[in-house]
Amino acid sequence: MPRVRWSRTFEKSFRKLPTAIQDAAFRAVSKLLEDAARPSLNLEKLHASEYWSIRVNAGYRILLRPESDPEGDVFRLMDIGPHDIYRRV
Amino acid sequence: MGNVLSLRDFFPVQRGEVAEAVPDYGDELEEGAPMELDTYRGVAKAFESGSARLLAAATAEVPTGGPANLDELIDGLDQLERTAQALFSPLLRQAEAERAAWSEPLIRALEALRDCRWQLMVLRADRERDGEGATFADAEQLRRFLDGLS
Repeated sequence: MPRVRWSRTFEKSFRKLPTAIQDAAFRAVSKLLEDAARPSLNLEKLHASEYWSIRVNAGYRILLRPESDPEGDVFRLMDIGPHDIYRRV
Repeated sequence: MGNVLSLRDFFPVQRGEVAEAVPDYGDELEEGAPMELDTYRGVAKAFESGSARLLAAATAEVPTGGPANLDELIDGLDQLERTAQALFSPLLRQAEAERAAWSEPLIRALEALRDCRWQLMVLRADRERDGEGATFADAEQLRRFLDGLS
């Protein structure tokens, strides 16, 4: 099971968010800890990058960097911010 | 740390000008498209080309640590995206109601601003390569940590 790691950059952005978004972020990270492949997380790799992101809600995503340490795989939470969807699929 | 970059240098629309470059959607408006689209297409092009130029300039600063004012640029782009959303939203709603494709340049501009901001967030994340940071194996550990933050 992957673990998650806090970062200073993430904390800085997280602290600026309204409580409702912070709570939604907690729920998203909790799901990530249970099962990263969960469809509702919409785990996506950023184009030409080592970074990934997951959906928090319809308007926010979390930026992640996969890392590993002697205990196994870790998703480092790097940032969180607005990510509106403008295109209807 | 790299140089300080100013959004004003990349978004001429902020100075009342309109940039050329990027895709040329042609002079003719699609049949059924509102007249004001002609103006907004120019603004959209300025947002799209400005995002591309800003990202190129910020990436060029990476060898010296990236732009010195990344936080400010990210916040500024967020504000600019909100402004563009407000500006374009009546037309976007109209296009959606009509299921029309003439709103494509406006959508591309909003996506360009958003994606540029996220690429700058990646540059900012790259600065934090070291440091252990608190690590969590389950939601309960994370909850306790968050409760301790406030």
